Amino acid sequence: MQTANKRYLIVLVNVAVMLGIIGFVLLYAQRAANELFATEVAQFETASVNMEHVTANYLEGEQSICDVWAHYINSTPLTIDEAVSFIRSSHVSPDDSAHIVFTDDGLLQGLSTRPKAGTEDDYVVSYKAMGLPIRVDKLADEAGAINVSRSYTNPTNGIQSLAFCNKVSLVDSQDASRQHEAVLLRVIPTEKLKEKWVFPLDQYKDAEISLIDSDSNYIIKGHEYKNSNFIEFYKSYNQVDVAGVEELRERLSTESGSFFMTNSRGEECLIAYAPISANRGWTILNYIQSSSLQRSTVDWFLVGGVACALLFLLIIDMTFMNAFNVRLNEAAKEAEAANRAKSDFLSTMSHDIRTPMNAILGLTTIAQRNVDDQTIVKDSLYKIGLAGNHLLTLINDILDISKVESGKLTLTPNVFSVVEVTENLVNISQPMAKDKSIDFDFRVNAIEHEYLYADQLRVNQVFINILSNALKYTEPHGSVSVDLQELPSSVPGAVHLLYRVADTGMGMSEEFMAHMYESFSRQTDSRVNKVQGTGLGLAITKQMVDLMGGTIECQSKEGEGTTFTITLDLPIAEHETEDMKLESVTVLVVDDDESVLQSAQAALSSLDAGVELASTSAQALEMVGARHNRRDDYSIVIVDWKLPDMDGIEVARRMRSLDRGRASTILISAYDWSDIEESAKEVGVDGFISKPFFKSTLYRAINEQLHVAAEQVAREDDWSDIAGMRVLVAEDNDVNWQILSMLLSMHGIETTRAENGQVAVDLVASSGPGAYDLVFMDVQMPVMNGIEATKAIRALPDREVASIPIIATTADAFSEDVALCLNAGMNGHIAKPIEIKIVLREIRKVKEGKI
Amino acid sequence: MRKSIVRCLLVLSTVFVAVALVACGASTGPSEAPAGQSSEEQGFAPSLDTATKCSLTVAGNYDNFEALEAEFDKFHEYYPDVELSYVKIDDYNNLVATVLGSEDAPDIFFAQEFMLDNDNYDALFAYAEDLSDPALNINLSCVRPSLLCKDDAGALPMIPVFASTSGILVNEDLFKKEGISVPTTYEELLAACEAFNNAGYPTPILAYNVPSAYGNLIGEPMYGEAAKNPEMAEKLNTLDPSAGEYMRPALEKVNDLMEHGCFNLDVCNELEDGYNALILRFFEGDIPMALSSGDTASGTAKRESQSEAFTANPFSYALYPLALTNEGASLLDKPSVQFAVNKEGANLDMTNEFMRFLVSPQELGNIASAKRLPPVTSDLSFDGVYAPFSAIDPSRIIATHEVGLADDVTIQYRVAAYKVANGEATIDEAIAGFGSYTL
Repeated sequence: MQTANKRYLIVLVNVAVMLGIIGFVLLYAQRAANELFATEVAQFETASVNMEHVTANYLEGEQSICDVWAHYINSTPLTIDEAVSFIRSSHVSPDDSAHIVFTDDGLLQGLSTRPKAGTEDDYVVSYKAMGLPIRVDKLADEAGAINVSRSYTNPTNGIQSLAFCNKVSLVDSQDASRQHEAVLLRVIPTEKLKEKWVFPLDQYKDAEISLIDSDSNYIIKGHEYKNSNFIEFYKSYNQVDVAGVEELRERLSTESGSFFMTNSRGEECLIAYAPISANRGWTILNYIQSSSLQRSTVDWFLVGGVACALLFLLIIDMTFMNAFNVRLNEAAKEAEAANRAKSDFLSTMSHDIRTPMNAILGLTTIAQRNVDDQTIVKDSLYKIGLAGNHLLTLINDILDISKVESGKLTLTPNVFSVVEVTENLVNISQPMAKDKSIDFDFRVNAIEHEYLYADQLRVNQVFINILSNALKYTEPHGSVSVDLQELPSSVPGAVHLLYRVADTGMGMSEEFMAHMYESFSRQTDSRVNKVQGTGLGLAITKQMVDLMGGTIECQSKEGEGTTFTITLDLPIAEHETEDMKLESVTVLVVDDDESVLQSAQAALSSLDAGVELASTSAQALEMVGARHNRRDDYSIVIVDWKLPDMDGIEVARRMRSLDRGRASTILISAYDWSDIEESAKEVGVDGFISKPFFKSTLYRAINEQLHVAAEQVAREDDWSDIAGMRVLVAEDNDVNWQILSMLLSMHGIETTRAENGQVAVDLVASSGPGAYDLVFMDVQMPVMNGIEATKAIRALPDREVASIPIIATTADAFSEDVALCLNAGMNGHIAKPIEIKIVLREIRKVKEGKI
Repeated sequence: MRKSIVRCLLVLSTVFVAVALVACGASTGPSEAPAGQSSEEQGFAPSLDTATKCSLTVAGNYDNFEALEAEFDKFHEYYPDVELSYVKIDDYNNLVATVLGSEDAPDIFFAQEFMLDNDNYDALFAYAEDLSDPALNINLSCVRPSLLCKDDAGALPMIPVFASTSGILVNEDLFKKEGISVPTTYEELLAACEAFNNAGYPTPILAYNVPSAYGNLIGEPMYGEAAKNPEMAEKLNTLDPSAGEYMRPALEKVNDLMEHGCFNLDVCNELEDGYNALILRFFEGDIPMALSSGDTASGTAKRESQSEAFTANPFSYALYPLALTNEGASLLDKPSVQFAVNKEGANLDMTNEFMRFLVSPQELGNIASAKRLPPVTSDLSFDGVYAPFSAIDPSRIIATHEVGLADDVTIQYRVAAYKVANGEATIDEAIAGFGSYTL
C-alpha cells in the first residue's frame, strides 16, 4: 500500500512538474505577448498619427487646387459658363469633376464640368433635392482653411464623392452687373480617396480607416464601421452613458489616442484616433481587431509538441518504472523466496547436521565412559561411523549444490565401466530394498558397450540419487524397478543410455513437480520427514544431467508412484576388453521374468555359449532331466531364487538329484545372498549372481564355476603385501596427520610427516631415490601448497626422485580439484575424510607399479 | 488504481494533443458552419466556395441600416472574405437609376412598391433581377404572399424586407392601471378614450398633427372600402373630383373621433419634430395611446434610452391595430423596404447567395426585429411590439398594394382628414377639394 502511494506520489510529482513547465511557458508567453501587445498598440497609435499627417497633407493639397480655382474665379468677373470652362481646362484627373452651384436663388442649381451620366452635353447639376453636402455658412474664407463636404452622391453620375468647396462670386450671364453667390465644389470620388487612405504597413493590412466629421458622421467609412455615425455605432455595441458619450466625443475631436471597443460581432477591437489638424472637427479613426495586434511569439505547435513530448516521456518513464518495479518486485520476491528457502534449508541442515553430530558426540562420550566395555565401544564406534557417513553425504550434497549454484560445476570425464556403476548401484540399493521389503528389480537390456567415457562420479551420483529417492519414498512392500538400456545414439561414437526408475511410492503433487528441480526445495509431507535427505538431490541431479547434455523426465501421481527417466548420450571408450568366450559351454537359464531370460540369452549367445531358457521350475527340471538322460548335462544352470512356484534353492536341490551334480548351479538373486548362502550351499548351489546380467558378470561367474577364470585377487582385508612401504605424508593438520599415520602404521606402513609443501619438497629432494615409495600430499598448506610442491618435486633434477608417485589427500573433493591435482603432476586423488581402504588400495597400486 | 492512472495519463495526453492540434489551426471548407452553430441550427448552407473574395454593396435611402449590417456580420461568418457594405444614396428616388448605371453601381438596391407602376422607374427595374427564378433557390414561401409585388410580366423584381402598417402605440401599464382593456372594436375605442379623458389624461390618443400622419388614421376605411370596390380605386386614381365622395366614410370617422375627444390637438400640436417628438412624448408615460406608423414604432427601441422619463419609469407598450369598426381591426399589410438585385452586378452569384441567406424566416425575423419594423414573415409575433397584430384574423388582412390606390389618392385622403380634424374644413368641403391636395 505504501509502495503504491509512493508510486502515485511520483506520478503526481511528474505531472505537476510537467504542468509547471508548461504553465511557466504559457505564463512567460502571456507576459511577453502582453508586452508585445502594448508595443503594438503604441505603434498603431503612432501609425494613426502619421496617417493624420498624410491626410492633412492630402486635404491641404486638394483644397489648395480648389482655392486656386476659386481665387481665379473671384478675382476675374466670370459667368458660370466661363468659370466652368476655366475649371474644365484645368482638369487633369478624369475621375474628378467640379460643380458650381448658385446659392443665392434657393434652387441650388448650377453647372458641372462633366456632362450628366448618359448624356453628352447636359452639364446642368442640381442639389435641390439632396441639398448641398456642406453648409454654406460654415465655409471658411481664410487662407489655409479646408472646406470638405460629407460623403454624398454625385448628382451627375451617381458616384459617392467628397467635395472640396469654396465660395465664389459670378457674374450673371444676362446682366454683367449682377453678381451671384455660388459654391465651387471640387468633387472627388470617395473610392479614389480610400485608395490613398490605406495603411502603409503590412502588419496593419486588416486595419480600416474612417474619417468622421464634427458630428461623428462618417465622411469615409470602412467596412467594419457600422451605422452612419461613429458614436451611434459605439453606443450600439458598447455600454456607455450620456457622460461617456460626451467624453468620447470630446476626446475624438481634441487629442490623439486609442481605446478598445466591442464591434458588431462582439469582438474586441482597437480604435486609434487623431484629429485632423488641417480641418477642425474632423478625426481620422483607425480600426483594427485586437486579435490582429496580438502577434503571439509562442509557437503553439512547439508548446504542444513539448507538452506531448513531456507527456510521452512521463508515460515512457512510468511504464519503464512500472516494469522495472514489477521486475524488482519479482526479483525481491524471488530473493525473498530464495532467502526463505535458504533459511529453511539452513534450519533443516542445522537440524540434519546436528542430528548425526549429536549422535557422534553422544556416542563418543558413551564410548569414552565405557572404554572398558568392548561391546559398547564397538557398538558406539559403529554408530559413529554411520552418523559420520551420513554427515559426509550431507556435506557433499551441500558442496555440490553450492557448486551448482555458483555455476562452477564441471565434469571430469574418464573411462568407466557401466557394469561397475550398475553393480555399485545394486550393491548400494539392495540393503535398503531388503530392509523395507521392497520388491526391487533391476533390468539391464542390450548393454553392448561396457566402457564409456564420462564423469563416472557424476553418472553414479545421478543414478544413485534417482534410485535412492525411489527407495526412500516407497513404502515397505512396495516395488522399485530399474531399467538400464543401451540404445543407438544420434551422436557419432556414443551410446544412448536410458535409465528408468519406477516406484510405487508416495508420488508427487503437480505443484511440487513444478519446482522439484529448484534448489533448496523439499516437499513438505509428513511421510517425507520420516526419511533422511538434504532435499538437494533432484536439483543436483537435474543440473548434472543438463551438464552432461542429457534429459530427465518425470511422471508422477500422488499416491501411485513416480517414474524418472534419464537419457544420456555418452561416448564409447576405447578399451582393451578381455576376449570373453564360453565355447562348448551349455547354460540353462531359469527365470519367470521374460526380460531376464532375453537379457541372459543375448549376453550368453554373444559369448558363444549354448543357451536354453526355462520360465518355470517344472520346465527347468524337465529340461535338466532330459539332458541328463541324454548324457548331455548342462554345464551351468542359472536359477532365479524367487520363482513363483518353487524357490531357487529347492529347484537346485531337485536338479542336483536329477543330474547328480553334473551341472554347476548358480543362484540368481537381486539382493545380498548372505541370508540364504548357507542353505543354498547345503543343497549344492555353487555360486551366486545378482541381477542385472551383464556379459562380463555372466562370463566371470560361469568361468569361476568352470575353474577356468584367473585366480581372484587376494582377499580385500589382506594388506600384508604392502607392509613395510615408506610414505611421506605432507599434512599441516596435526589430527589428520595423526589419523593417517596411525591407520597406515596399523598395516605396517612407515610414514614420515612434512608440515608443509616446502618441507615435503626438501625431504624428497634430500632423501634421494627410493627413500619414499610415495607421497600423500595435502593441497591446502601454509608456506607452500600441495600443487606448488608437486610441481617443485616434478621439477627436481633427479628424474627418479622427481617421478615419485604423489597422491593428493585433500578436502578439495570436486572434480575440478581432482583435475587440478592431476594437472600439477599428481598420480591420484583421495578425498577427505579419508577411507583407509581407498588409501591402502592406492598404496597397493603403487606397490604393483600401476601408478 | 493503476488503470485510473493510465486513464488520467491518456486524458492528459489527449488534452495536450488536442491543444497542439488546435494550435495548428483548422481549415475551412465550402460547407462548414460558423463556430458554435450546427448545420441544423443555421438553416443556411453555403452553396459557393466560402473562400470567395469579393465586395457587395447595398444601396438605399436609410441614413443608417445597422439591422442590415448585423446580417452582413452573420453572412460574413460563412463567407469571411466577402465584404459587405451599406451606402446611402442621396436623393435616392431620383438618383438611384443613375447610380445603377455608374461604376459605383450597388449589387442590391432599395425598391418600393409604388415604383413598380411608375414609368419613371422603368430604368431602375431594368437592372432588377427576377427573384422568383427557381434557379436562385430563394425561399419565397417564408414571405407573406400579400407582400410580394410582381410586375406585369409576372417577374418578382424585389423582395420585401420589412412590412409597413399603422396602428396605435399602447401604454399597456396605463390601461392596466385604469382597469381598461385595450380596445378591439370602435365602441371600445371610444369608451376607452372617454375613460382616459375622465381620468384627466392629456389626450387619449397622441398624434403628430400634420397631414402626412393622418394616413395612419384613415388607412383602414380608405383601403378597406377600395378593396371591396375595384371601381372605387379606379375612379380615385383618376383624381376626378367626383370621386371625392368615396372619402366621406373615412372623414366622418375622423370627425366622430374628434367629437368624442379622442385627440387633444393642443397636446398634439406641441410636438415639433415629427415622430421623434411623438415617441419621446409617449415615453413620458401619461399618454395612453399614440397614433403611429410602423416606422414610428421602429424608432421606439432606440429612443428608450434617450428618454429620461422612460429610463426612470419604464413601462410596457406595444403597437396595436386601430379598431375603427365594431367588427374589429384590420391589418393594412404593406411592403416597406424591398430589396432588388442588380443583375448587372459584378458579383451576381454572391449577391444571390446573400439574398438566399437573408430570405429565411430566421433572418427576416432578425432584421425586422433589429429595425423594429413589422416582419414580412408569417409570424408577426417575432417582435413583441407587433405581437398584437398576430391576433388579427387572416380575412382582415388588406394587401394595400393589391388595392392599387395611387400615392396621390392617399395624399388626398390625408390632407382632407387633416382639414376635418383641425376644423379647417367641413366634411363636404374636404370632399370637394379631392384631387387638389398636395403635401
